[in-house]
Amino acid sequence: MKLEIDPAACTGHGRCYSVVPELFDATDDGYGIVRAETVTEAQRADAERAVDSCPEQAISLKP
Amino acid sequence: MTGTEDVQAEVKDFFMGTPGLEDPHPLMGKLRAACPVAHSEAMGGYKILSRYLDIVAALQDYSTFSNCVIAIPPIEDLRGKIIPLNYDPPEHTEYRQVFAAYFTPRAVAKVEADARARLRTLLENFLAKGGGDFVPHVLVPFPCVTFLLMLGLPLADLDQLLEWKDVLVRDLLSGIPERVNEAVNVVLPKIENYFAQRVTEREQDPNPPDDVLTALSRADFRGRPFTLVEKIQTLMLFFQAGLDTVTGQLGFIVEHLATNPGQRRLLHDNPSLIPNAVEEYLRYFSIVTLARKVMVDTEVAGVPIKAGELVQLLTQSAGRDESQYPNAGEIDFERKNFKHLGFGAGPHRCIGSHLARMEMRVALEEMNEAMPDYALADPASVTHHWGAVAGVDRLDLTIPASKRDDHHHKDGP
Repeated sequence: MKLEIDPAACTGHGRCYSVVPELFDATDDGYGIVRAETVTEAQRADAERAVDSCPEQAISLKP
Repeated sequence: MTGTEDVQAEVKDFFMGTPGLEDPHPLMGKLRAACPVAHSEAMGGYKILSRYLDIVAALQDYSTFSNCVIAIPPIEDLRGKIIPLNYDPPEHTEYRQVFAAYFTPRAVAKVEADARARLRTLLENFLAKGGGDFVPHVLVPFPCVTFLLMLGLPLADLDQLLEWKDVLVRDLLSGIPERVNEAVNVVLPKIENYFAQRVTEREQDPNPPDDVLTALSRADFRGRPFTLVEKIQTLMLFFQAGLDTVTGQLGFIVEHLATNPGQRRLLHDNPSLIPNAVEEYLRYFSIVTLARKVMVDTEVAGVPIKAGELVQLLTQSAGRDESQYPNAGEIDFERKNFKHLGFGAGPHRCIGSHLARMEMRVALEEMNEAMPDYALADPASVTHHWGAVAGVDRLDLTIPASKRDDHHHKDGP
């Protein structure tokens, strides 16, 4: 599955890298970035948690 | 179920800043259910949005919903725009970029140990008194001290800043003309002079520390240095946004924990739940009520809103929107969905959110250690203010005598 952050929608709430630091990191300015675009089935629940935590709906998880 | 017209009639003169306003949450529930775009005639008139999805959409659509007005009642002349709050993109984005790196979780972590030590002292002093009003003894000074540490201002300035803050919090959005006038034309100039002095001193410091004040003293905007007015108007944002917000949020949290010993014990026995608890409280007790000015004719939930109208965005209501949160009316530290609008959304997402989160987490951690048991001295004496930033006016706590003894014993000579 492909995990993406829309940089135009991200405003730096920092929920993704606080909630699931295994999958997300922060830029120096506090915006979220994915550690790896491809996530495994085992990481799906964590990825979905990050999607649900983002107040900007900036994170997507696609097959 | 109450009809749209009944609910509209109930909010005809609704103003969050009405002194003595009772808990508006039941009314907000009615608004969400039957009247998602209501109209109040108070303070010159404004529309009221109460549903989560309508509010987040407005916050994200900055070209329709402008930040030139950010609170009800609007203040026409606030001695210049506050930076970056009163600007819209693209200026807003460029101003904000100057400070973004100073408010990240990593940057905030640098002041955590210092803030924690200051809080410990405040709690020790409070316990040594055997309890009392938690608001002036702990909840007011803690965010103010943290603000000074974060910006790099002298801690000796605390009492003066608290005095000014009290006037602004009480009067600026009171809607009472003589009070607003006093706050704007007497108190704001004093704060401006103070900030001008401190930032000028920093400019002349040959070995400036790496902090917000230094960043501000050297800030550029579009290839030229910030003017003194820009520096002052930026400090004004940090000052107005960083003090009574955390005080208010913690007031609701501590009141809830004081009256719910089961949940207090749950946090005490499982401190790893504290970060989730902070998010859950931010959802349940969102304390900031936002506003925007509509720039072009638009429509929300099928209701037309004209250019020039003001809209109030009830983030407090968004946090209890049943369509977004199962059992929205319950506080659950193990909730899966703890997305909320407590820090807003869109380009104006609270720049101090990570600082505020750190302060609340540290407060709950330190209270766990220093005062695991406490109760309200008199539930009837607890009163709230709602306004643009809600909070608890008075929070008298009693500490069980045995715990006081434990504390003295532990820290005794």
